[in-house]
Amino acid sequence: MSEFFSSPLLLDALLRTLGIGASVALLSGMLATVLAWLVVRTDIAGGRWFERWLSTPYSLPAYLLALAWMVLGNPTVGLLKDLLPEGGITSLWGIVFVETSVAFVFPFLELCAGFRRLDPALEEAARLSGAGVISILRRVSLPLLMPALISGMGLSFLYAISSFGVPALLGMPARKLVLTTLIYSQFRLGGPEGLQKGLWISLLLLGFSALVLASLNLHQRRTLKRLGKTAIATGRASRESRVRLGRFRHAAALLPGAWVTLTLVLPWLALGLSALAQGPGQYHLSGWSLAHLQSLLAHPLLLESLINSVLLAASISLLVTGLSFFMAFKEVRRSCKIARSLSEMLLLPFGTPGSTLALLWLVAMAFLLPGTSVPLVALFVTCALKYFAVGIRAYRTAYGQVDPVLEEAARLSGAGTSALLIRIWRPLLKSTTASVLFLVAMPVLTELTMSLLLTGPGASTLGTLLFQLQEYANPSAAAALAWVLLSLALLISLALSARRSPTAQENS
Amino acid sequence: MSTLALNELSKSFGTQQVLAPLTLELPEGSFVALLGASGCGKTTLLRMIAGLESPSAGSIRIGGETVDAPGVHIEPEHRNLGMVFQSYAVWPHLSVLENVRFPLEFGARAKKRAPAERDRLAREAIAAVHLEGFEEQAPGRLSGGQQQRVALARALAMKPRILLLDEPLSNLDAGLRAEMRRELKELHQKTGLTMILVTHDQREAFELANRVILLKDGRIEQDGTPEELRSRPASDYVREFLKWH
Repeated sequence: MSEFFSSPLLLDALLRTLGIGASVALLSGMLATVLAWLVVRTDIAGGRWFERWLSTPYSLPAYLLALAWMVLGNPTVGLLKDLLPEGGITSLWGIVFVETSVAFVFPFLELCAGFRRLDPALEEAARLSGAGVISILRRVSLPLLMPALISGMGLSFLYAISSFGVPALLGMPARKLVLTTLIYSQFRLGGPEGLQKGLWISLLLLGFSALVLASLNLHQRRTLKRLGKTAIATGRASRESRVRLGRFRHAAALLPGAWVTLTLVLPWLALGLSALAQGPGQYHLSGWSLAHLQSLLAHPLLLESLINSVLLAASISLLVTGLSFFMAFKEVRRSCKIARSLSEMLLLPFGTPGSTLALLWLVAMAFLLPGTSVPLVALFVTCALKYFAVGIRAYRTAYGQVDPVLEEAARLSGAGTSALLIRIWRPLLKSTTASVLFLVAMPVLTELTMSLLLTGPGASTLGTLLFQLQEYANPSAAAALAWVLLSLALLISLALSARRSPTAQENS
Repeated sequence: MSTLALNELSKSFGTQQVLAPLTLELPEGSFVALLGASGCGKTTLLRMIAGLESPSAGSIRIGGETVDAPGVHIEPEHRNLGMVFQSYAVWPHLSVLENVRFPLEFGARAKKRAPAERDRLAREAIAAVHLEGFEEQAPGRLSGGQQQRVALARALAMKPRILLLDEPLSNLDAGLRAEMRRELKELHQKTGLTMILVTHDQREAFELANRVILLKDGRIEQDGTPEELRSRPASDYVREFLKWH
C-alpha cells in the first residue's frame, strides 16, 4: 500500500486534479467577474436575456457537454478539430474548458446577486469623486464583492476536483487520470485491494474538499468582521444604477453571446447532429436518419434505466424539497437550534465528492450489513444526502427575504404552524419550491459518479446507460440519449428562469 | 454669477413624468433646500444635477459649462461635484483617511498632486468635520454620525463646485441631527460653498437654507426664502404641507 502512495500514478493524478481545479477556479472567476458586471451593471444589449442563458449550465450535467464536445473536438473526426490545439478536446485543457463551462456559473450567480445587493450609492460616490468605470470596479465594487467571488471560485474548485464524468470521458482515452477516475479504475480493476486504495484516495479528496470549505468559511468570517457594521447592501428598493456603454452596448454583447454559443448552442447542435447523422464524421444531410434514436428506443436497458432514474429523481427531489422546506422554516423563522445543527450537518455532503460518498457507503454497509447489496437504496440515500444542501440553501435565503410581517399577520389571525406552512409559506415560496425540485431532480436523473460505483446488473440508470453506450457500445446512441436529456434540461431550466426574472427574485 | 442654471429641465420614466419642465438659477454661495413629500421628484432632480440620471429634455449649466443638453451629457466623474448620500456610502474596506483621499486620486488635478499633498488635503478635510484621530479607523467601527462626517469630508476634500446633500441627516437620531445641522450651517458660512439640500423635513430646510423650493408632483409649488414660505404660502398645499411636515 505504501508503494502505491508513493507511486507516480497517484502523484500525477493528484497534481493533475489540483491543476485542473485551480485552472477552472481561476478561469471561472475571471469570466464570471466580466460577465456578471456586463449583464448586471451595464446597459449591455440583451442583459436580462443573457443573464438567464449564462445561468442555465448550473442545472446541466457537465458530462453531457463533454459528450457534445467529443463530437466537436474529437482529434480524428471532430467538426472543429482543425481549430483546436493538438489532442483536440481529449486533453487537459479540454477538461478545464468543459468543467469551466458549468463551474463558472457558481461565481457568476454569486456576483450577479452581489452586484444587485450592493448599495448603488457606494459606486455613485466613487463616480462623483472622479473615478472612471475601471477604477470603480477595481477599487470599490470588486473589493466589496470579494467574499462572493472567493466563495464562488471555491465552489468551482470543489466542483472541478470532485467531477468524474468529464475527466472520464475526456481524460481517460488519453490516459490522463485524475483522483476521481483513479478511484474508479482502482475500484473496478484493482480487486479487493482496489476498494481499499479507492477508499484512501477518496479520503484524500475529502481532505482537500474539507480544507477548501474550512478556508472559505474562515475567509467569510474575517471579511464580515473587517467590514463591521457598515451597510454595503441596501434593504430598500432603489433604482438600478447602470453604466452607459453608449455605442459599445451592442458590441459588448458579443462576449456573453460567444460564451453562450460555446457552452450551450454548439453542444446542443453537436449532439443533435451526432444523433441524426450516419456515424462519427459522416455528417452529410443525405445520411441523416432516426436510426440512432430508434436503436436507443430498442435498447434492452432503456426502459429499466428510465424507470429507475425517474423514480429516484422524483422521490429524492420530493423528499429533499419537503424536508428542507420544513427545516429551513424551523431554523430561520423559529430559530430552532436542532434544525440549525442538522442543516449544517446536511450541508457537508454537497462539498464531498460523489465517489467518496459512494465508497463510504460501501464500507459502512460492509461493516453493518455484510453481504447485503441494494443498489437503488444505496443510490437513494447517497443522492439524497448529497443534494440536501441545494434545498436548505435555497429555502434559507427565501425565508430570510420575505418580510416577517406577512407571517406575523397570519399568526395574529389565529394560524398555527401547519396552517402557516400550507396557507402562507407554500404559496409565497412556490417559485423556490419549483427551483429546488428541478435543481435536485435534474442531477439525480443524470447522476453518473455514484451510480457507476453503487449500481450493477439490474439497477441501471440513465447515467450508467449513457456511460456504457459511449464507452463500450454505441456512441451515436449515446449522443441521441444525451441530446434528449440536454434538450429536456434546457427546456425546463428556461421555463423556470422565465417565471422568475431577476427583478422578481430581488423583490420577493 | 449663477453657479447652476436649469432650463426647461424635465424627466420621465417610461410614460410617467416625475419632473415637469423646470427652470431656475442658483447664485454662487447659496444654500438651497429642495423640500417636498416622498415621490415629488426632489431626489431625481438632485441626481440629474449630479449626472447620475439623464434628463428627458432641457439643459443644465454648471459654472457656465453646459453639462446636460440634447446630445450633451458630461459624466458625473467629470462634473467636480460633491455629494453626501442618505446611506452615507462610505466604503467599508477603506480606512477613514483612504475614503477621504479617494477623490484626490482622480481627475486632471490629481496627477499634479504628490501623495504627501493628497494626504495633507485629506487630513484637512477630516479636521474640518472634527474627526481628527480617526484617520486610520475602519468605517465599520464608527457611529452613524461619524460615518456621515466621513462622507462629508470626502465630498469637501475635492473642493467641489457644488455640494449636493441627499437627505443626509434622515438616518441620524434627533440629538445628532441638531448637531449636524449646526455644523453644516457653520461649514456653509465658512466656505461659502453652493449647497443643495434634499429633505422632506421643513425644520431642516428652514434652519439651514436661505432659499427653499417646495416641490409637488414634479412641479415647483413655491420658491422663496423660508420667511416668504412661512408668511405668504402660495397655495393651500404649501400651507397644509408646512402644517404637517
